[in-house]
Amino acid sequence: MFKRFTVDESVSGQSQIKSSLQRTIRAKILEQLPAIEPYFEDILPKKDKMVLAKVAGHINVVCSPAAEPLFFNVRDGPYCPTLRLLAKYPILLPRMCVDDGAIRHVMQGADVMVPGLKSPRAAIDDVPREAVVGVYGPGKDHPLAVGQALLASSAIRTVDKGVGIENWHFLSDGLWKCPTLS
Amino acid sequence: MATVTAPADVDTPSGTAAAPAPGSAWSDSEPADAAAADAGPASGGGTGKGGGASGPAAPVTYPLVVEYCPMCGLPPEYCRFNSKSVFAKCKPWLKEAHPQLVPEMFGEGELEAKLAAMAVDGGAATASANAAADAAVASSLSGPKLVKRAGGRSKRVDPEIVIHTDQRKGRKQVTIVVGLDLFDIKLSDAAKACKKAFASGATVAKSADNRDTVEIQGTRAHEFAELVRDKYKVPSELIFVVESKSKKRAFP
Repeated sequence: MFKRFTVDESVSGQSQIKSSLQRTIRAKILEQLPAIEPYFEDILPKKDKMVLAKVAGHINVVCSPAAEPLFFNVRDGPYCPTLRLLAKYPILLPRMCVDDGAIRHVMQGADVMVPGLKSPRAAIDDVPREAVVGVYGPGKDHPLAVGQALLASSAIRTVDKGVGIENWHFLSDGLWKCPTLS
Repeated sequence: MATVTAPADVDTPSGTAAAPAPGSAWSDSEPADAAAADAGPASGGGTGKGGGASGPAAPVTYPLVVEYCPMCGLPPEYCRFNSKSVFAKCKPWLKEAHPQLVPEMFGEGELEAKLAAMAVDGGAATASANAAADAAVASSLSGPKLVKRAGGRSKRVDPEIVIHTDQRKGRKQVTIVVGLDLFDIKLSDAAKACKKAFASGATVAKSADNRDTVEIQGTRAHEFAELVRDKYKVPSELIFVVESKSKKRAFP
């Protein structure tokens, strides 16, 4: 999603958003990531104006006032924390641990395939279908990618092939390389 | 929220010393040989919890302090998934900052060779490693740099600033500066500085071969050369002015 992202070419506009819209976005994020509640004020203080960047491909990126990307979503889809934010608050998303062999490919932007989630080195949390999840390497503390589970965990355990997690944002992609959008 | 491993541990302070730390709780689900192959939990403690705080019953407060490799910008755990040439540059730093990540990362033979070198001349080995890292930083300024060209291709270009003049509508002259980006100068800042210094218009524009340039109204070639030399400390031998089609040093 952000593989070829650059601030100059992909961002079509950034603007401070009005407070009513800000409130709805806040409510949506809170509803979707309940674990964020105690830290929401630290991540995005209510008093500060958030900045919304519009990115090619109908992606919205919610940024801090300093234009630091924090969350993104597609059209009206679920909000997803960026990797830099998730690294600071790993409790935000359920943890999906993939096999070592998959890491290199995920870091190139590949989707996570079911076999990579079923190997003995892998371990997955119970998530419903279409949940936003963090992808980790075995024994690693830092997330490797964030994406959306295309199958529920129970389904992943029964299927043998196909895409398990769609890769939305991964280490060393375009968005990762922009600590701020300015 | 039982699905999330970390907070489950955090939220139960009753979990005494016997309770596994967040990191190790995770690795429990792995086979025993996994821990040997990958120094995961130990290394993770270094990054995520600010240095060895992964001991039992350590309270985890968010946000975690996250450390990134100064070479490749990735978390140190993932340095070795870079291409080999990049990872080679990360190694000196990794060795300093995260020695626990190193044994699994260095090849067996290489590790032994390094250890032998360390034994012979003690700290000199690390000193030379540091010197290598410094040299890499220095070469990033003096060596050729990658520049994006039209069509998504990149090409290596020697860092230099070339100033030439051009004509716009009628007899209006503009001064065009190419290459400021190679010295990590923000073009919009440079344009602003020009406006202030020359009291004329200056903008950031793309040239025909897709390079970022600063366009200044009026002929300001030599004045601008002085400005970049003094304000941005660009070495004067790297600044060129094109006059009647020949490229000459601005400060001969």
